[in-house]
Amino acid sequence: MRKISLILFVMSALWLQSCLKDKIMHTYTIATPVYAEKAVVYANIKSNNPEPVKNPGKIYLYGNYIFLNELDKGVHIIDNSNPAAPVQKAFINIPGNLDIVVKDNILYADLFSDLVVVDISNPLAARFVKFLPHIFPSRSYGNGFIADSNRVIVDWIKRDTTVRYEDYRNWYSYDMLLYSSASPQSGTAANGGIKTNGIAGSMARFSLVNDYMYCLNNYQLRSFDVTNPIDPQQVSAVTMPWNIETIYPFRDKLFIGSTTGMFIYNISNPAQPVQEGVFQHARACDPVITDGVYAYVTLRDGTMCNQALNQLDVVDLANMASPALRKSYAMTNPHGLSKDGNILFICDGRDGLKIYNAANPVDIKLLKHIKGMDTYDAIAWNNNLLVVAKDGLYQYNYSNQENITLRSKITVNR
Amino acid sequence: MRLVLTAVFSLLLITLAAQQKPRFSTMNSVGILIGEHDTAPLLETVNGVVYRNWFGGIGTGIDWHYSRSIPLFFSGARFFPVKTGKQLQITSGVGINFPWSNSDYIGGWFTTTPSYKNGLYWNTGLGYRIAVGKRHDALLFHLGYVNKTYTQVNTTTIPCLIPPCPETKESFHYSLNALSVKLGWGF
Repeated sequence: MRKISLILFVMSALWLQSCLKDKIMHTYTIATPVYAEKAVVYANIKSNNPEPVKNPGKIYLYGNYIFLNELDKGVHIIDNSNPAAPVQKAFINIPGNLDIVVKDNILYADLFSDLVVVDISNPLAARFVKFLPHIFPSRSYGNGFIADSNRVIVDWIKRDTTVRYEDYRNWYSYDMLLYSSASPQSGTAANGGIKTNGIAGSMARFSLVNDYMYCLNNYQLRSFDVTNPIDPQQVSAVTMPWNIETIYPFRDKLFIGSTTGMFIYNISNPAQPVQEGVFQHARACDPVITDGVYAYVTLRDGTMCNQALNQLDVVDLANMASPALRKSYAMTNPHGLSKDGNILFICDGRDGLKIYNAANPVDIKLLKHIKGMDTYDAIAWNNNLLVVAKDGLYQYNYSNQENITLRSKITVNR
Repeated sequence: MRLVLTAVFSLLLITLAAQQKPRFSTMNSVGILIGEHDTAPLLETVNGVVYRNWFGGIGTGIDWHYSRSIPLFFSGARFFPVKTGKQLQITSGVGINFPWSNSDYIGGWFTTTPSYKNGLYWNTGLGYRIAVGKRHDALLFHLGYVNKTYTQVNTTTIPCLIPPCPETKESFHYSLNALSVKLGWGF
């Protein structure tokens, strides 16, 4: 009897031990790159059928058209003749594309490390013109996937995988999904009486000023003479501190945001930008715009921006050589911004869109706070506000500051 | 899952329907959960009606076994008198496990935001009641087995300077088992 009890006890203990084992299943995605010959890719840079917006990036306003970047995929062409009912007309496949600008019906876009030139005289029949190689050398495919001279990554095949996950304590993963993105980029906004051809958001890394185009890569400001738009010629490459992010032109100045400060470059000689001033701040990501009197800089934390700093800085430009901070306003996670007259629009990330009366820049007043969307860039122009958010492209009518209304939305369709 | 819930609920209804003199009953316990990876405290309350040797009710509580959770479950029990004022009881319960994590952000070079999905909760066990006082008050000793599940979805933002930065998702489905030891009071 005692032996039986002992056996039962041991069996019970073993049963309990096995029953107490936890089971953790880990599901992740493996992505494999799909390569294409460059010749094939260039041949496909044309107006194709419209595609659903899945990962909207930079925006560029040009005439009645909106050019909306699809991250690493290409450019949506949207007829915005009626902002209440924008119509997607075509999609230009440009793998690795993040930034766009347009001059005289010529679209300039990055294709990973190359710059491509596309004729959009007829936006519905866009035509590849040429490419300039290795303009953005810091663009890499990441995660061990390196481009060669003949091929580019045009897509990723994704496959979900579920495995039993044993050693989960104190563990967290960066995921196995492999992306081709490095640092997104883009174009610039108008104003100051300069000719820019179109208007870009504040996140832009491409900028057009009269007959010159300026492009940022991570550590360089490159200038191109685009007097002949279909044949851009690089005329200079100014080395800058690492992690320069955004570019905004105003009169004969370029305002360049970086993770450590705002740089002011003089382009009186447009072929050779010269640093004129700098406003330094704690390490944070910082797009910048200006009205010529003040610069508005949003600082945010997260990812590569490091510091837990989320605010709007208003910087006095009375002395361009030594800009001075006038006031800081606390924000949630501010990204892009735009200003039209006295109205200041701030994309405050997951906290939505904030609209201020900035008649007195050191005492801005909140007019409206639109929540429920994760915003990151905006263009305010002619009483029509374009807002790019995670879930779509919004357009607002702000002709009446007391009653800012939604005109339309192109919804992201993932 | 739906079948089990229906069965337990039916049991509860049958119990209630059979009541001639339904009596409210409560069982409130503190205890520990002993699992593969940790030992954690739990608080639990089960309230319902008792008729003869049957009990049916609804239970809830909180536990910190691996990840803080709040279960909400239907509970049933059968009592077996063994001596005057002393009873054995077999219990079981099934319901929903609500993960209540206090971690909504995982820092580091990459930014990861976890979100949680509810899962299944069930328990079973053996208890011993010792009556105290003149009414139905009793001390409770309980040894049981608990399983709770939930899913954690991590959304990771790949670093980039200019948003929107690409995101990836991965998920972890947890099925956590534990031995429960509880001490309580009820009537």
